[in-house]
Amino acid sequence: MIRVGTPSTFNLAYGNTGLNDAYFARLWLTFPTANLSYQIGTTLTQPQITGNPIDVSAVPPDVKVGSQTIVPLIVPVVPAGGSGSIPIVFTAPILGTDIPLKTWINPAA
Amino acid sequence: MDSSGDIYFGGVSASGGDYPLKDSVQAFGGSNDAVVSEILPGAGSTSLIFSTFLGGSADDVGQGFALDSQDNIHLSGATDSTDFPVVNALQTEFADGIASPDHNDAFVAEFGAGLIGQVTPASGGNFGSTTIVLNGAGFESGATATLKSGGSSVASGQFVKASADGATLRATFDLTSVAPGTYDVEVVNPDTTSFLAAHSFTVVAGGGAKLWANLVGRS
Repeated sequence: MIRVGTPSTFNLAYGNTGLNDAYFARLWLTFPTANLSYQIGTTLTQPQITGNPIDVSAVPPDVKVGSQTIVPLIVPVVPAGGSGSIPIVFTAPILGTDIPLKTWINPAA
Repeated sequence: MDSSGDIYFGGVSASGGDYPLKDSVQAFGGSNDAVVSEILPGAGSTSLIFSTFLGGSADDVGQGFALDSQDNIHLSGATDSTDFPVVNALQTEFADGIASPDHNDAFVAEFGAGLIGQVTPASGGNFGSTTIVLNGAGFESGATATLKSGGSSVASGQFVKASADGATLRATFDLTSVAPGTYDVEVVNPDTTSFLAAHSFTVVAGGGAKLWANLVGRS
């Protein structure tokens, strides 16, 4: 249950049960745009890029598709047999009923 | 005595309160414990280099003692302790079962600059790279890690990183050209001390990553 106006921390857990490491795993999260706002609980730092750096601040952190928000994340390495988690803080601005949260990772098991 | 003049001795002690210890691997276990000590004799004083108990809550006795070419200490003896400390044990409980010791099972122990205790994961596929975490002791910054077969290197670890306390070492191995089979894992520190975990890692044909994700909470 998420209370209206009260931030609630969830953990986006991921892992690798395979025999080889996974590099640049794509981790996705979707939820209804109208029902929730979110904040990634881990501080992400921009790598130093020399030459012609990309202005990361101009890249949106999520994509709105219809009524859904899609948050794409990339995990650089998920070692074989390893696991990890990313904390995500959700806040519900309005009173609602069930709020479907979905996550998946590519390539999936 | 080793090449630098240090003197080693082992045996048994019931002096749990006052037997001199230095960098010990454990405290007094109880009753009688095996002991191993290393001293450096000096002109005016003698320095204690290493000294430890080895044993559980019942009687443990050190009986055989030897040094190898790298000054690792090898101790053999007998134990009646159901809680005798074991690492990489060939047999983890008494011959008659852990609940009913048959009195005086033999033990063999090695004390050295370090060891590889556990290799995780124990297998990887030759579809790609696998990161291996070694738990043990004595790993130093700048160490190298190698997969070996019959003494020959089959893959060198990349991105090798030892923890600050030397208890963990992480290395990534490219297994794409490695034939399926069982291999030794060797770690060599910058000071050339080396540790080998024989037949500790298996390469299987194929493999790949199998990822999962789940949203858990809330807190």
